[in-house]
Amino acid sequence: MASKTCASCLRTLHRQSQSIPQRASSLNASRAFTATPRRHLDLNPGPNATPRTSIPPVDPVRAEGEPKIGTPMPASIRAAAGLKKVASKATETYTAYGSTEVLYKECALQADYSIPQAGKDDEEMPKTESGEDLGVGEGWWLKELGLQPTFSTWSQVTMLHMYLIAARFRCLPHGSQTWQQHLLDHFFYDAENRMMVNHNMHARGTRNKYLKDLFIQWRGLLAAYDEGLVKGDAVLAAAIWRNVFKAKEDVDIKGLAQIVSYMRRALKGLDSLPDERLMSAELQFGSPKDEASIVALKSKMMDLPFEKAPGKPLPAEKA
Amino acid sequence: MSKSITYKHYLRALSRWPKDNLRPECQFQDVMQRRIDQRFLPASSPNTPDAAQAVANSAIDEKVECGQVNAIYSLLENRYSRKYPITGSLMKPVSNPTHYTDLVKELEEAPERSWFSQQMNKWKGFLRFQ
Repeated sequence: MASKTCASCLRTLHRQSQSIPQRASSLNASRAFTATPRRHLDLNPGPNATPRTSIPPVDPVRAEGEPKIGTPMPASIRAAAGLKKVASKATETYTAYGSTEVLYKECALQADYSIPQAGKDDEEMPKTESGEDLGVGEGWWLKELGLQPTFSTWSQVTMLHMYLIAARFRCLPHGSQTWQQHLLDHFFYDAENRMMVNHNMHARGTRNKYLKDLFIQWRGLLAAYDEGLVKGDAVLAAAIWRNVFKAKEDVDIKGLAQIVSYMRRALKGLDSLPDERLMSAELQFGSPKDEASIVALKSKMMDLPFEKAPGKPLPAEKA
Repeated sequence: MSKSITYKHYLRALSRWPKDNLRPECQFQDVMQRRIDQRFLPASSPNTPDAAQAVANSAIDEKVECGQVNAIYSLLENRYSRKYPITGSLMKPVSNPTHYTDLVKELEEAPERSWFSQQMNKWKGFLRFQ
């Protein structure tokens, strides 16, 4: 399941993925625009001279995050960029590994939770009714929707967001399998880490058992959500109900509808996202709480008299 | 109480919910039917200490339940897929244009397959000849 990348390649791609936000701070040699010239110090500055500080002046180009033209890049970045131009197919997997890590982190923070009692030996972890370890967390999923901050909640919400990205990865012209695989690898690596750190599962056998279950859940929800995408909102809602809510009887159907609306909106947004932005991981998820107003709108079917036979399809319904 | 409007809305909405052939034992409409029967049908408890209290309780419930059944209607009328329609090529992914159509076909055929054809498919997938 996990793909192996050698240590030196990992170092290269880590440096590559970190280079863009840090490029601004690492530049000091040949900035073309500064308030104080480097070579000639004016010992008697006039009344309008700007104060000399160690904080560089804000360069509007740099503030946008664009790299300045003509600035020297570190040699390793130049080498990596050159290699990428020459052997783009071979280096794709390394770029994919770095970018999918950023994308995965965006998925994982949606229903993130922590267990304060985890590191301490003498404190007992609180449990849910079904015996799962209960933690604390923030966010719409855990607070407004009311899901419990457990490992299974976190994994289901994360997998839901990963599904949205995987559906978009399918549209890549080449390498879609690579990108999906790396995203999945990051998830399983992190899941195993959390099992060890948050839930004290030091036995590899126990962790492997849960990881196998998790993999089956992932394959199941891929098929279920795909089916929901094709067949309509009701089928998608049923899939979310089975996976995220574990087919509970007292599900909040308004919350369920908000999640469906959120997924549709995210897919529409991902559909119009260009490949380059996806591959440089410039992506942030919104929140289902923005969909509350759409869900609250009164349906026309509420006003339909009951004399109409219940099984008769409405003209407004589209399969 | 069992003749309340909201209950009738529920019955109508759930009767239109699509049947899931792949998961016959875990149907949304069956579980919801159980839930509303529990909430709406035992209308009279033998001791009715507070008629006003019972009315107040039912009023709160009605509003919440109305919101819930409205949500079911909104899902049935595909409000969200119509509000956020996919206009690009997401449903015909470049890496595999027939992905979704193949999936739907597979999901339709799978429950009907005999044991023998399941085994044949399993081995066909295992040994793939180019």
